[in-house]
Amino acid sequence: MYNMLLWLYESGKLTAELLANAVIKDYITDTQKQEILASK
Amino acid sequence: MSNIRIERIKFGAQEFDLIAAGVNLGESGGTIAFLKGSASFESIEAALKENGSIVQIGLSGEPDWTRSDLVYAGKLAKQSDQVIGTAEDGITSITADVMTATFRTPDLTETVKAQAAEIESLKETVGVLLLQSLEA
Repeated sequence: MYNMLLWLYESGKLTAELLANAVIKDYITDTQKQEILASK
Repeated sequence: MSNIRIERIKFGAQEFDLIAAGVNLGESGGTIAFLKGSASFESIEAALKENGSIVQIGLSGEPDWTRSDLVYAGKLAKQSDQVIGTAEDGITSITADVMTATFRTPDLTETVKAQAAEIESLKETVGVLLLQSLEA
């Protein structure tokens, strides 16, 4: 799930707002969210 | 010889008369030799490049076998005026233009390329589903 979200984020298909929803839905942890946000 | 029914070979939609012992295929490929007939070299090569099934049509007109595991190896040779039999007088040779096409099993690079494209497509699909889930 992490890799998929990372790929979506890096390719511009996933916004930071939707990424926050991924934490709410327990798809990833908040730490992983920060890693994804830092990847760009 | 021309009145005798002979086996035929079909590449995609195109059919050709086989020469005697014209099929020389093993597990990993080989050659098929057939009569050129009125088809052009280019149209034969185009049919081969489509890499559809190879079907041998028997004397009964029904398929004897089919192979879908082989691809055209990019080698097509024309032998002009090759002796393909003897006339009823037993002396006169019958000649025709014979094409020999080479086939092989797909190599690893082609297989990997096809699988990579499939994975990419699956990734796109999963991505769309995931985005929908996050938007909900």
